Amino acid sequence: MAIVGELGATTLWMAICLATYSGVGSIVGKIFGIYSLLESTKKSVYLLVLVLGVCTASLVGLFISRDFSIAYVAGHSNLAMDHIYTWVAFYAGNEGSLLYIAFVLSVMAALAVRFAPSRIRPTLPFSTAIMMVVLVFFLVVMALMANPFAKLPITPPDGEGINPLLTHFGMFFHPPALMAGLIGITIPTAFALGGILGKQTRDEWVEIGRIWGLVIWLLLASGLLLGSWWAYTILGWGGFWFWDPVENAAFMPWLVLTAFIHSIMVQRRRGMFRMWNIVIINIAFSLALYGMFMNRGGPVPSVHSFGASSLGWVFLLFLAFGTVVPFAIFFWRFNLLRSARALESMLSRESAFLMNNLLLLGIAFVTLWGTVYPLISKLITAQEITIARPFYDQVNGPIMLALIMLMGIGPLIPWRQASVATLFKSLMWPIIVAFIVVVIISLIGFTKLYPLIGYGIAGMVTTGITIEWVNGCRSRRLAFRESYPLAFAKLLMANRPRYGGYIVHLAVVMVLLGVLGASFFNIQKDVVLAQGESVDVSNYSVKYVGTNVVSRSDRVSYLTDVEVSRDGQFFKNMTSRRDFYPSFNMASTRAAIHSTPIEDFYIVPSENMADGSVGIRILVNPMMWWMWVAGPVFVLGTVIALWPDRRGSISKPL
Amino acid sequence: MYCRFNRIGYSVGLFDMCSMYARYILLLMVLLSGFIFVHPLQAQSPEQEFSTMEYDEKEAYAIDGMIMCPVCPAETIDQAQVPLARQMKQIIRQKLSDGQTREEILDYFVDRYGEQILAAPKREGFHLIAWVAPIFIVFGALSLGVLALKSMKNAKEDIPLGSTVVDDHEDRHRYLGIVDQIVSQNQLSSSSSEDTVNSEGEDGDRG
Repeated sequence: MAIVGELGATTLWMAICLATYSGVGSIVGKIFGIYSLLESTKKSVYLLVLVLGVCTASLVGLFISRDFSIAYVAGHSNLAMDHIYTWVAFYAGNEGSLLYIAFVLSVMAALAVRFAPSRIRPTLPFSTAIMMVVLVFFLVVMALMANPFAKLPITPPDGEGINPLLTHFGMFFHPPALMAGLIGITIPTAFALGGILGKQTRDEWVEIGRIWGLVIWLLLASGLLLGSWWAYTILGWGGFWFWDPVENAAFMPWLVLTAFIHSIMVQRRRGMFRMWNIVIINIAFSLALYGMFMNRGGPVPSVHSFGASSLGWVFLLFLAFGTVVPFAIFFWRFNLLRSARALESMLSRESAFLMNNLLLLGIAFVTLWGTVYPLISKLITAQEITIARPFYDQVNGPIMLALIMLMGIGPLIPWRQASVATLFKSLMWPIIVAFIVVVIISLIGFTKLYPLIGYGIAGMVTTGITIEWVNGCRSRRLAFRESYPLAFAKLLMANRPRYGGYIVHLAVVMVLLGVLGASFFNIQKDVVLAQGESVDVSNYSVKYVGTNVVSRSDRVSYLTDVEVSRDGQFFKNMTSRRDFYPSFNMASTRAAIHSTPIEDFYIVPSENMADGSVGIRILVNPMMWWMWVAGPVFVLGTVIALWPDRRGSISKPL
Repeated sequence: MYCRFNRIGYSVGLFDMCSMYARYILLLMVLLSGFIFVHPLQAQSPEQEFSTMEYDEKEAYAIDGMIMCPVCPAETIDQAQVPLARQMKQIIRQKLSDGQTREEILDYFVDRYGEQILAAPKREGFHLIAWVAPIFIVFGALSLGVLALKSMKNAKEDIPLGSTVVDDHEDRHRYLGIVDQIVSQNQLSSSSSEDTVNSEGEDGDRG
């Protein structure tokens, strides 16, 4: 089997040569007009996928054949591990995740080159070169500092095994989606920078940049949601988001990308914001590099410290490079970037989009500030302090509410110019509904200010979107005599970026409902129960039936059975689990959750005592369900927004 | 929390000099500024504790969320699953039922473990910067945005060569289609007749 390891190591070096050739070749070919060279570099970008594919496959092969002579395989798997977890073990450490990132980037680069629209072909070589610079960086770091094919001096009989926290369904998608999303930001950035390098400074890259931006935005969004879900079910704490430094590092690029997919619409529709879009994609790119720096050997302690390493400084250098160079290119071409037209009014969709962008960037930079402030404090006052959840909750909470409120108003403002009178007219019903919601909720007896504002805003956004849809359907019905369902479907199809966006906005409202419910109205109880004992939480009563202990080769599972009754009547038997892994001296939990749209009943064991009693945490989280259901809605909305225009076959938007 | 009480204490001297109305306005401002700084969750009055026999559970959980676990990476004791965190939670409950306030309990932990035990620094002294900077970041960004919009309003229009005013999305597509054609004709050697076909496709009527 030794040959497989050699194959992997060899293809890694081949990939470095190929990527360097494509990068240098495309610049040289472009500058000297050697078209055969350009054609050849294009082919070698495609070939890279094959070479890195073989490289990836050989690491997978090593995992499957349990070749513990390879350090990475021995460090992240063992004989007891299910083969299905090879997928997770592959990126459980630095070396493998670098290979994963490189492979994904090569695939994306090939797709980007293959499906580049004719409009950006003249500057494509520059874009290719930028992608290759990033790829070469990852490949070289891998080959020299974190080689996944490095061998151990002595082959151990068994590997160390996979980190137990990673053996969860969410882990099959959360890390790969986030890593792919972070590295994927390279592609729209390369289009933007390649374009201005080649002096194509109008709107050539906009259409393709928007498509890539949306795809990557969706990757990051689903990665973040899946990560929250993983935290909710496995960390045994009942929370879903805790502003961990690495979480933040993935959250910030997503925020900036959210700003980007909005502001790029202004350029697409109106030819404005040409500079701004390049600035913002550059920011997203450097924040993505920062995210990878934090994740791979970052300096800040985090629950994601799976792969602590000495890679930190290399990533830091590349982060500096990846921040300075794009902005240098931007300033070099600064004078060529002019808007196609002037802004007509301060009250217009264009300016609403700019405000939305600034609020999103505001949240991103406040989060960044929270991450770096402890370092600043340490430098100036020599005092170690911590910035964690309470800080971000309190500082970002209000900005997010303001942003969601703008999300309700923005789509109702027309392009170019709006008059105050028409704006008030279209805002009247949303505002009335918001007030009704606030009054009803406070009459029910929930008088906390924050959630009241939040629910009011949720009502406003939902009403605004509903009215838009109802009006659109009505006029289609009148104009084309379509039935309501048909009119609705056709409406969606007529202006996909817009109505897909509305669906995503509804998903944001759903997330808001979940966050508000779980942060302000949750009921929590930590108790120790002896066998047969019971405890009341809200209108539930939990009786501890007993614990089954199951020993496996790598872990001991404690299955805790409880009998839950609601309002005095038998409701459900629930089994939650706590696995203890002796070799890691680590426990992972699997909560038992009964989830309904109204509330989650959540139970998780935190400690199994020697005398058979159990420490458990019981939570009632109102409206959490909505947060997870929002995931598919996000996907649906984004897919609709992305669906390509088949030109000529679509009726004009109304 | 700290902040609100300090501020009221501060302003007592001012009160004597003020007329009745100004006094109310000042009080309102102080309360409002307190509100900006204080999360509603934390603003529960200490009096609530007397209503329960032992301690207010909500308050206990709130304090759990404000103290880091000293031995685990980036987790508060609310989240952490280690024995030390459990003991610390026990101490908090003990102190609450002894009638201690949130501040006293937090101070107790700071004395033992240093400032970094707090999940967020106190809003006083140097660390006020941490809390105030975000307000400046956001309002700074928004006012820069307004300035940018104003300058965009007065901007000169960049009308592409050889065309009249590009008026609409569709028009621009058509125009760019023409540009594509020209570009691909200029590059005959790399040619790809495919390009021309594509751009003709884009050139087609969208309506």
